[in-house]
Amino acid sequence: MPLLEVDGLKTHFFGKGGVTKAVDGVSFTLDRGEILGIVGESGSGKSVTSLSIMRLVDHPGRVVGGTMRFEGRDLLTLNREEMRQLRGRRMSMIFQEPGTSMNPVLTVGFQIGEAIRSHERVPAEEVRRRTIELMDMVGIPDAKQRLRQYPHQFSGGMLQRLMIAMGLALSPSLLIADEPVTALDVTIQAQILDLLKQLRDTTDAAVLLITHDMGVVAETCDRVVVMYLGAIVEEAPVTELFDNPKHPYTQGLLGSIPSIEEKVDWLQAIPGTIPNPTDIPSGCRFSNRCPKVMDVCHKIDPALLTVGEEHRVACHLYEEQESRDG
Amino acid sequence: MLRYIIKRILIGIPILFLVITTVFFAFRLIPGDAARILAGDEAPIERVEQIRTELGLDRPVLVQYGAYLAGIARGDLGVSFSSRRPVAVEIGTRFGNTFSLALAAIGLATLVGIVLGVISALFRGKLADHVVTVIALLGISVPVFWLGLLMMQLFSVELGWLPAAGHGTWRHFIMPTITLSVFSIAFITRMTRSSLLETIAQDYVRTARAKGVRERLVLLLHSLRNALLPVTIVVGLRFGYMVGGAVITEEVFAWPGLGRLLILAVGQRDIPLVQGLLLVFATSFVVVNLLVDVLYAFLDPRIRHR
Repeated sequence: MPLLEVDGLKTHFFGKGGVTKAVDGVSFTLDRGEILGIVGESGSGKSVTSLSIMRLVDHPGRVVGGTMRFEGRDLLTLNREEMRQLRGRRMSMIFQEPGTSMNPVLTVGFQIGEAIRSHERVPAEEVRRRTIELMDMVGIPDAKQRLRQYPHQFSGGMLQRLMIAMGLALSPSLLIADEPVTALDVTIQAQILDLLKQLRDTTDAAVLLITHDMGVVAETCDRVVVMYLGAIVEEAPVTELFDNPKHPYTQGLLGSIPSIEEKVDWLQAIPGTIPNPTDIPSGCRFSNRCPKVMDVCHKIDPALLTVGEEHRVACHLYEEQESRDG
Repeated sequence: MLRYIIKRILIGIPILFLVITTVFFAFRLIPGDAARILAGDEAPIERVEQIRTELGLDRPVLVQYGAYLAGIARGDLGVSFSSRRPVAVEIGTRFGNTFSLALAAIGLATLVGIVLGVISALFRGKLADHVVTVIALLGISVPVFWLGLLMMQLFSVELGWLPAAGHGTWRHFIMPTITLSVFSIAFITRMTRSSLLETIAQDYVRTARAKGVRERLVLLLHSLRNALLPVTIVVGLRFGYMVGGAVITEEVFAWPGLGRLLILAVGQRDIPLVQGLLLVFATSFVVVNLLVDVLYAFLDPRIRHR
């Protein structure tokens, strides 16, 4: 049984100007010890997907459909207290902006220890000892002294390490990382991604890595889900996706990355911009930007088709192929 | 931290000097002759001139200014024209009355303002929020003297529960305290509301929830504590204002404080007393601000470490 099983998740926002279907029928699974990337542009629904799993979607957003099973429990049936007990203990989350994600007026030691104290009754001395251990584990030098310092006394990279320490305080089985390196320098990015991989290997936690950066995906993930306007358009193991992208959107995303092997004068970009999620095109949601658009694309929303081992794609181009193959 | 405090004190000195100078010269520009008022309308011009000489008002303005500054440097605020007692004594005997009233009013305003503000923010857009907003709007718009008179009419005249005016027991405190705090209650309520709403939307509050912190602590420790930082500044400013600005409230309730004294002093062109009072008001304001700054630095490590 997979660690996390998301099936047909729908999270909609009920604003004054109408309903925004930020996540509209997303299904995927995640195994223990696996790093799954969710890629997409801003507005694709990848962050809302992760917040939905944590049940932290803010008003006026609401999960309106689907199921989410985590460690065998249906998350949507849990009450507030049961959900609180899961957060930080079995599943935790780190965020894009380490600088604003920690409380500026509390010491970092207090904030890491708080993750422990919120779930276990342990003496202060033990909390302190474990906090120092965690800070050592994520590579903060002088943990004993630095735990008394405040967030503004740390660099962005160090803060993200502290956030990871906080997230892993109680060895959760799932760590959701929402754009964990987007706000960091490239050299620091590599360090943090290495740390995530290393922690996955030592703790066997699964990581759900939300990013818009294909480079981060290639470096870190085992498997990738590509999202566009609230739905999954393609899903594949990471090498398969990079070697053999099927969806015109994925092809566009990969085509916009410069290659060091061949010289190109002009980088390919996907034409147009991502439509407003209140106004999703009928038929295929990518139809108005797709270079290979066909008549059927404007009428019928394509279902996810299996096109290879663990490779699924939602595109009408591959329908014949599937019926021929099987 | 100590350097920060010393720096703040040093900034206060030129401010006070500026206040002293401005008040001194401004008072020479307004019409009204202290010697004539003291002598009375019927007094002969010789008597007026004699009083003028006694008070030292016949000397050139710059000489008077120099003498005044020299006096302040020695801690001497001069002698009241009307009572002939030292200004420091006149102010000293009433300062406690004004200070205790201001303390009671700011205490009430802080307590009620924060509670109402929190309610308003937590129930944003709901009935409770609208009710609090209307109360705050009334509190900001209602004239202080009118509210005081209205309460007097109800609680003293009609119901006979509270003394209408004067000073002495805790019962005398009730109506002046409410009157003086109403504006501040409204102000602190709105400030707390907006600050809390802003804080609740912060990333670190979401982080706290994401690590499973209990909702009560998310609100008290991560949201309210941070939201109250800017509120402390407003509380300090309002308190500084109350120490010097309770003029109307004190007049309405015949409260023997500095505000009433100021009205008397201005009416009699009692220049040394007015100057002394304004100096005390300005000093209170500067001191309160200093205390607030120190408190703020104590509460917010980002300022402490700068």
